Amino acid sequence: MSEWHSKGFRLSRLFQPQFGLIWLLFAMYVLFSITSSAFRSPDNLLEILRASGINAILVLGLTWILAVGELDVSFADVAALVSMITAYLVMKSGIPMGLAIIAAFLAGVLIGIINGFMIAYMKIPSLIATIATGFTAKAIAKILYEGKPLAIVSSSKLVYNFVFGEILEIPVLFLTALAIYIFSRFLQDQTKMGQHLYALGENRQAVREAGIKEAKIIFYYFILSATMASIAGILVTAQLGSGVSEIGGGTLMIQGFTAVFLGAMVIKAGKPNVIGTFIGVIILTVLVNWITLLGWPTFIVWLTRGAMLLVCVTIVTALGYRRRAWGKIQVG
Amino acid sequence: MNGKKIVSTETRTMVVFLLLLVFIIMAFSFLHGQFLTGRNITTLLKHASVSAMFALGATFVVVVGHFDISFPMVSSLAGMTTSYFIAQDIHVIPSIFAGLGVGILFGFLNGVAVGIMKLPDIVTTIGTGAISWGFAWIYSGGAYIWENVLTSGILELNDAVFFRVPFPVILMVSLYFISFLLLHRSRHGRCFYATGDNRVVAIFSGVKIKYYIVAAFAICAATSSLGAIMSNASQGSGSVRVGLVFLLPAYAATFLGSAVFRKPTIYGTLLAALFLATLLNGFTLMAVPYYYSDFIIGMVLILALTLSTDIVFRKRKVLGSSRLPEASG
Repeated sequence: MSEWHSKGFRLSRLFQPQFGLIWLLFAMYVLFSITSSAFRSPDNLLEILRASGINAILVLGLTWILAVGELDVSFADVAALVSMITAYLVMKSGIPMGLAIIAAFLAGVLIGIINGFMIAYMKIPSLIATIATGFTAKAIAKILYEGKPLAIVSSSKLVYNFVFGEILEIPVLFLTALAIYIFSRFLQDQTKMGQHLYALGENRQAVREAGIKEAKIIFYYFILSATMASIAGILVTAQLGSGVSEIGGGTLMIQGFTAVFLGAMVIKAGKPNVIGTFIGVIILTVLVNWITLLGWPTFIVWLTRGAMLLVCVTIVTALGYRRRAWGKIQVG
Repeated sequence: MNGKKIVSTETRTMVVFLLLLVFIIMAFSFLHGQFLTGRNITTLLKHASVSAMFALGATFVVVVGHFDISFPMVSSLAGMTTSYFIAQDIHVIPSIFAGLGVGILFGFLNGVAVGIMKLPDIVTTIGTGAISWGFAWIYSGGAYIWENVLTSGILELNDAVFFRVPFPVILMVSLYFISFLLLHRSRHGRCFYATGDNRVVAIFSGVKIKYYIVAAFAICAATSSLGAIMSNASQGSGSVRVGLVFLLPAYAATFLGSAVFRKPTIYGTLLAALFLATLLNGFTLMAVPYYYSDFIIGMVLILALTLSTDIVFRKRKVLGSSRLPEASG
């Protein structure tokens, strides 16, 4: 990770294989723009940026959880729970929008705390713990309004302005996500936090014996994941104008994992990292947008996503193994 | 600890668990007069059979120390394949085998990816799951397939009765019995457990762990595919979403069973699946809407995990990590 800073920035570095994903995105964008007039329209571009903004915020926590070698499959359900609670409190309990959002947000964070406690302190496998909390969260979201979406009719434009606002014709949402990711990259690459993050992913035993409070760190990452998912849930609610108990028809989870593993192929080969995830999210959003505009059936999206995830995982695993082999040569 | 003592502890646990089950049955029959009628018990057992099939496969994968997220989607594909073949006027038996074959193929691919290529299990199975889910949509674009269902005889899979026992129950019990013999009364069972408990020791003891991982994933796909086909038969149509609802119940049964018996076992899973099915059936009778079921199972699972955490997971920490332990190094 220090390579980035030690050598300074040179143009030739842009053509190194680790930036392949950026070029892929660029090529995809140019190709799709040439072939489809609907794709290159300014409105569609705004739509892509807005959607990638929300998706990026949603999967930030997942990136780091995968980097420490844990898993979270509950983040999409946390977003759905927050969305439904917001809508329910505003429409059924008559609570002002601001308070409802805070209450829903806290409920989402609570799921994160439960996840973190079960996984970090009680040593329950992260998959089974997050399946349990995720399904429970989704069930609560469905119980609130019998599984139907609940439209919000409110004079409050609190979040609405944020979601649909633009600065210099770029959605505020996208700029916010970008800012969060640049800040996270700083945390990840230049602070002790980032050092601990990748150390945990590499060798948990060594971290524990170095006296780092491993459980506490993992606990906080699960809270972070739920927090980001809750924010995304509120944004989705504002974007759709209603609370939904199944965001994107249950596709968000797979999309999140694919984005993270796409990103893990670049920048830091073999490790999930925030900049890679950000690019991965945009690539997936562009791809799904293009497939939708072409009018192809839904299953093409699933097939591509699944295939991409498999290819990425294979490459990332191969990179990871190669990195470990190099390490052995250096030590020995 | 000698062998005898372990057996007696397990027997005692089983008796306690059965008593809990009886207590719940009594509570529900007290709360609702319809609970203990023959008709309701048949419904309960049929429903329990399907979810127990899914849980059986999940148990095998958990025993070898892995997870499979793809079986709900793979089983949906298998169910859709069978329904599609039946809709094409193909005899019911080859149709069922075609569905099972497709399911097992995906399970086999999962096993090869995880056991031989050493890819991280959960993320890989999310990928294969997405692919099989995509294939499941191809047959009908996501619509229900109901052509020839009534005439083909597939409904017998759900409706047939032998000696007053419904066929799904017979099928489920016999599969559980075979699995019990395989996992708890044979050399291979020891190898399955060794693969999950301590991979290094397993390798040095001459266990071919690759084959056991592939076998576990294939068994998981096979039983869940059969479960999906049975579920389609009971619904009277092929649904593209048939398997999806079984992810939580299957893992809940497996982990509830392993929480009670301190390791994933066939009898633990069976009892837990019966327990959960009884609970859901009772609540349904008391007019609790269907979308409460995930909430109930989720809370039971969280409770069981919380109560049992220290006992079950201390030696199996490897499960939590998405990486494989480096056994060969």
